[in-house]
Amino acid sequence: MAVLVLADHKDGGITQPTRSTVAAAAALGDVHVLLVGEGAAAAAPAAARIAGVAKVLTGAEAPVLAEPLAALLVSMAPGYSHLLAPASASGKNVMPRVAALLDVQILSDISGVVDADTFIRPIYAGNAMATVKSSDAKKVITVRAASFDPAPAEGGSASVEAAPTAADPGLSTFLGAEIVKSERPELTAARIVISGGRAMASSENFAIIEKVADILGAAVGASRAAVDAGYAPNDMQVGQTGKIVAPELYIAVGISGAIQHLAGMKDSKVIVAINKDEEAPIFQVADYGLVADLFKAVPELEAELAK
Amino acid sequence: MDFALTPQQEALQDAIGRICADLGDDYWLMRDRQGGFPTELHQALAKGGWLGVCMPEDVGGAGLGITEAALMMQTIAQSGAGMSGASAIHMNIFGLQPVVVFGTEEQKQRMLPPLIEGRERACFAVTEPNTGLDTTQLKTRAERRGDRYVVHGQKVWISTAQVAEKMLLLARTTPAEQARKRTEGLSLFYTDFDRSRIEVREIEKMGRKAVDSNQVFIDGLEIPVEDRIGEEGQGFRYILHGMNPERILIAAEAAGLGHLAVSRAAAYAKERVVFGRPIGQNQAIQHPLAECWMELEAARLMTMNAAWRYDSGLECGAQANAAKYLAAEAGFKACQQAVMTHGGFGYAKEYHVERYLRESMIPRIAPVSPQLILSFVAERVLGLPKSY
Amino acid sequence: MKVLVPVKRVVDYNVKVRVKADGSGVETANVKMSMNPFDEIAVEEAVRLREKGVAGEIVAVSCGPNAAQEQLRTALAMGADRGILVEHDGVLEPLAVAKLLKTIVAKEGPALVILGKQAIDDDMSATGQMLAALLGWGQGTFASKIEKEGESLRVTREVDGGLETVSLKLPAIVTTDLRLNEPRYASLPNIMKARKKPIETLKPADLGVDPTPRLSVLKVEEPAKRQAGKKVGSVQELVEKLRNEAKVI
Repeated sequence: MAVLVLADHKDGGITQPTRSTVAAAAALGDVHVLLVGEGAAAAAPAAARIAGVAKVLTGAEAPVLAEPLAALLVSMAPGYSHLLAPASASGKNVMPRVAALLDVQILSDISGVVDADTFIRPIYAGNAMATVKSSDAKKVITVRAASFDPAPAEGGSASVEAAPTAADPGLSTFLGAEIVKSERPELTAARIVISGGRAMASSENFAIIEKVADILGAAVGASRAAVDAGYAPNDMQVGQTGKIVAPELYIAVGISGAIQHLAGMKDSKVIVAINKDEEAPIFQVADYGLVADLFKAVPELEAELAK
Repeated sequence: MDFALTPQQEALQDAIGRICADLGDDYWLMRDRQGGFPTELHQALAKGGWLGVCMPEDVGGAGLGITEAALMMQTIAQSGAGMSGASAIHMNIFGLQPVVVFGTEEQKQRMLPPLIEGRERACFAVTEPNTGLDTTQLKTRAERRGDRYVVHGQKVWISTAQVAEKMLLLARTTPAEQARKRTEGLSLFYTDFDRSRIEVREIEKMGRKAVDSNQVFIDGLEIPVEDRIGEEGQGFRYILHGMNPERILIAAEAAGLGHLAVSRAAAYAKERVVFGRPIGQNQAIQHPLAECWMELEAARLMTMNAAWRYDSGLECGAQANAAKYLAAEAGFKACQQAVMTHGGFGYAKEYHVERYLRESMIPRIAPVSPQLILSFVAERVLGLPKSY
Repeated sequence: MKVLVPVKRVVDYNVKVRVKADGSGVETANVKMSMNPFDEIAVEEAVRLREKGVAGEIVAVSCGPNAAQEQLRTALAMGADRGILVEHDGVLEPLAVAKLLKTIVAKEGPALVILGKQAIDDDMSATGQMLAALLGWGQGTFASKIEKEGESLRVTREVDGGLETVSLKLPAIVTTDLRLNEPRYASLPNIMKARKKPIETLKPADLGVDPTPRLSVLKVEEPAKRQAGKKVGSVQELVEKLRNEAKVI
């Protein structure tokens, strides 16, 4: 049986977490990708080119709501052994609803596939990894994208067809969205991330990190403490209850390294920490640690990188 | 014999712990450097209804016992606030017990709610420069003139007199020669702290700068008769009522401070690596801390025992005094050990343990000296002849 | 309107959990347990709705061991009116909890159920959505703001890239995100009052639900340990290493 991946897409492109989900799904069967929401048709060609995708299905162009989308997925479920989505806000919103409608227990945020029934997932903020085997006939899964190398964006040539329609149960209405527009790469997709902690002391001071991000083409993140203090908006939060990232390079500036933050970035390939407290826990996980005042070190870093 | 805390007592400890967690080490370090009453703690506890823990329900209190108050005070001290936090709150929780027991309904309704709500703070003016433990010999006199008393005298070691709105005052209304008994002739008042008639001079101390201690000079203070608690001449008897509970609370605070110091030392000993191993792996570091923990726990359990006896209406003088002695000595020893465990950093203010050590002298000295407690136990428990 | 708030007993937020040597799970004996922090936010939101005159009775419910009564007492001390314990020792997955809660909803008839967005032990982030599915109700997950508008609920949600606003017909499900509110501390008068508030105990069998898990845990391991790296002496050295050693820039 085939497996279905519910894709996240933006501006005609497929998100990197979705490609990671395709990679995870490829181990389980032929991959079909479902695109719904505004811009679905425009993103279909990009989806069709992802290596390993066999078929792309495009659905309604209306703003995505959990209830009608879950109804659609449930109607399509008989054709699939596994239904997957990235563990994005969207995937986490709809997939548990789908699972309950199918009377199966969801497998949230998997970081490994052992076989068609067995998966690895983090528990206790990633302080433990559980290998779980599902006894359900159908599996509903969200995927921790940072744990799977994304399927290449080119190489596939899938067919594109219309997804079936499903009735909207009319339980909710979409009123609007305030999406932050940014030139910078998206946090979960960026190759390099530089994050600021509470030691940044103000939102204005984040500008010194942003200058480094601009030179590196990096995304900018923040610790929960910085977000709670109002120095950064919530969509920049990296951590157990924020975004989980695993870039090639993660630079933690003025971040102490609380467990909850580490849970969001400890799978980064290379971690750099800049902190004036040499006892800060972040140094336990940093590949390279610089004990220095960030207000001196970061501008120096900007200058050094510009050379 | 059930030693377990009730679910309500656990909820109490948890709730107080959370309030105290908002004020971290940096706050108490700052308070110790700069001084200044910890209004933030006082107001947060007042808002949660905690100042009324032992007060009757009909004045807005919770009507709980000394056991709950002791748990509260231990939790405050142990949270990192030490004596700076505990002493700021202490007087307001139990000091007005004489009003509760001996005050009129009118007085209770007038005097207690503002205290419980945190709108007023009270200081306790008993000790005098020449009268420490020998309370009945105090000299501050209150002369009845019609519908008021006029007070002249001096008090010393009056905590929070810089900020208090009210004063619980013990003064002599009948000259000592004329009193029928040595323990009579003193009267108790709860009145406005009229700063036009009272001069307050702060005493610079070894520690606990946040809770000011003062010399107080009373010069013609006028107290309306309505502010006298109970009968004239019976004041000493009234404050005796509060002495055992006070010892129990100080004991709880000392135990909390000691446990705080031990936990800081243990945490440091796990992290600090010398000669390739955490220093906590060395017996010379871990054994003294273990001993401190045991002694603190023994003192704490004696404190809980004394509290239970008091709440059950049993005689508790020996236990309350013993608890104060044991907890104060164990607390002091624990704070010393914490400084030594930290090595050089134990001497640095930013590691906090030196502050705990400075504060740990207070429960040893006050409200009664270790020597007086030893004599008390010798006489009252062992039946040995009075030595003074 | 009546509001139901499910609360879960979990290992306290501050505890660093240890994996058992035999790999069967995580060490929870003698470890501090507390209410799931997101559930505290849910209770707080219910109490605030009542203070605004929007909510009426608040019923807290917990599915778990007998000791979960402590968490119900905390909810009562925060302002909930009544507690229900569905007592069960052993693992309860979100699907089972959702089924149990569905029967409680049928008994209690709330117009709104507010849940935490995820439990910090299993991090499943599923119960609210599953309950909504079983009830056929709308769901507003990861809520950072809730407002009642007539017979609907306007929910602002935290999503990737920003915020989204939806309107849900009541009755509905909401799951709380971190910034919805800051929970109050239980005050002493409320702790005292909580003692007298009733807690009803039920069992899954009473509710006709089979709580058997669908997932079996084959093993629990520590994540691969990261080695502590090295300290560099300067920004220049850092950039040189990132360029030539790690080759990431």
